[in-house]
Amino acid sequence: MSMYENIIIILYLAVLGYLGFRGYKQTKNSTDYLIAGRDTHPFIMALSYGATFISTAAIVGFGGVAAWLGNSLLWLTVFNIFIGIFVAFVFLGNPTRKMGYRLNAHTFPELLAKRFDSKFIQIFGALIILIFMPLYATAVLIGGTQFIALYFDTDYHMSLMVFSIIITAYVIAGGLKGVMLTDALQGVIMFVAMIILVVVTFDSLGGIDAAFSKLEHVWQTTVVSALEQTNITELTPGSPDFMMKLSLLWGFEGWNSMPQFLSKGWLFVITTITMGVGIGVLAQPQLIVRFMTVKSKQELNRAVLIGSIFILAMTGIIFIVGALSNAWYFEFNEGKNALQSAGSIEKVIPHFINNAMPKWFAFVFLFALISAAMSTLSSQFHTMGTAVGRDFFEQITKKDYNSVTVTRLGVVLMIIFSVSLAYAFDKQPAIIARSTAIFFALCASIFLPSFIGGLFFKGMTKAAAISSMLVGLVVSSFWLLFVHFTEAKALGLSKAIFGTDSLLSGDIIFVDALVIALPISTITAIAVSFMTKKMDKKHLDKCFND
Amino acid sequence: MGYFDFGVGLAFILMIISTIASVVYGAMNWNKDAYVKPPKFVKEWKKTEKKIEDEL
Repeated sequence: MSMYENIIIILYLAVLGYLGFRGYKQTKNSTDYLIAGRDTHPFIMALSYGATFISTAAIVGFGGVAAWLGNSLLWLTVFNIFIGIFVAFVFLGNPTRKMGYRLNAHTFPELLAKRFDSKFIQIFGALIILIFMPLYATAVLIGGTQFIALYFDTDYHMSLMVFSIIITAYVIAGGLKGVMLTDALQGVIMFVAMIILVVVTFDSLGGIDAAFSKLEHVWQTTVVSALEQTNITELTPGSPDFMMKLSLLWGFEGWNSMPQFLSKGWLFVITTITMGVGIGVLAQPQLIVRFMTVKSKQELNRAVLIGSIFILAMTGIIFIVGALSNAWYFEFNEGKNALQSAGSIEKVIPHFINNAMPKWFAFVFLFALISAAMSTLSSQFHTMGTAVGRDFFEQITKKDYNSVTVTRLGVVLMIIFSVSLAYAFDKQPAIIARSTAIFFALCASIFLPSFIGGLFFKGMTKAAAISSMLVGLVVSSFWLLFVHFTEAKALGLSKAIFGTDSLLSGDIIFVDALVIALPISTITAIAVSFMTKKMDKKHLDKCFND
Repeated sequence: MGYFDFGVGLAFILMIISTIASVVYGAMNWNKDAYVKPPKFVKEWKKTEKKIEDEL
């Protein structure tokens, strides 16, 4: 490593330390520790929301998928911006903020519990977070650590330890204030890196029009002509040509085209990638809590502007660059496409950075990836800590504890648990590799009807909220365990019990769990609301009126 | 834009429109809906919370 690199690393750590310390100094009570004192700056809030949402997996993993499946993934960016930012901030943000304020809620499970006057909901919500979020955090932790170990040529376990200690320090000390301040810094680094990435990519391919125009020729040459006559059974499963042949069989027709309507590829891109992640984001506890960190709607209005530009610069750019990497490799690597050059989907983006970008940029991009991992992880650890302390322990013991201390203990506990998982599995086992998709599908199916119903429909009852959550859990778990082609195969329970990867057959196994479970849990919420006794008017007044 | 088919072209346009709409919304409402003094019960609640924190 050069002297400049060492200086930049030390500077980065020093700034992180300073921001964590600033969070610590500003934390005076549980409101500060749990929801950043409800007075966060819109810039910090928007960047923290975006940086928490975008993890290393979103950049490296989905960028690689874009190299495989092309620009059809831009539908996810549309959903990310329109639903994940515009709808979330304009329609959900302020009602969430106001209700959280009126009910003095400090966490997402607590908000739902107080709205529906049910301790069960708070404990149930905490358990969902505590069971499934550690797997999601472990996936992010393993991804971030692997990059550090690779770039600095250090031992994986040593890198994991140092990486975790740094995050632990500022999450425990600074609470959500520390987390959001560091998120904002990390968001800025990610933003700068992505802008450089897209500019250099277009420049090396001769401009925007020339770059996109090349993709059709590369597709025809390296995929259609090369693989059309080949039987997939002749190819090694998982190999680059196998994956490209698979995309042909799934109905893909080029990196600039949508797959055939209702083909396997279309169902995968639209239901699993676009809707699974694009809608799933609305019910993420670690993101919803951010709406409660600002003091007025004005901050949310401003955050719409900042957040939309940030997300466009993240997923919009990485999907375009991922797809265009095929044109770059074809031109500069002996007529090969991206997967043939890098070897596999997850290797495309790191390989592209190392080969297509200037040397200094590899270091900048490493920082962006570490920042993406850290910002997601710190928020996950904080959310899990609040779930242990505030939502579970305090509710079970029914005593008034100092929430800050209990949450700090919860954060430590969950970091130890997640790091232990990451320590044991440096090669991601299937369950961890699929944990992001699992967490998004579960959260949306379980929480979304109660969250939206709770904010907007006074007629939604406690029984309706509980039944919709339970139905969401059962249906989404069933679909993930026994039907959906990726999770059911990866989890292996269906195979172990029934001897088959999926209980159903045909294209339906490509439909995401969220698309099946969310409508059912929503119908349950509506039906049970009509069948059960309305909630007390006095309680509803407290929830809905200042 | 001629290089995209209808589906991808539509996604590309909607991506830009969504961003522009968000930017315009944020800019037009930049100074609206500012913070107003909290209701009385919040002050009382803050006092109670401080008391509990001090006792702990």
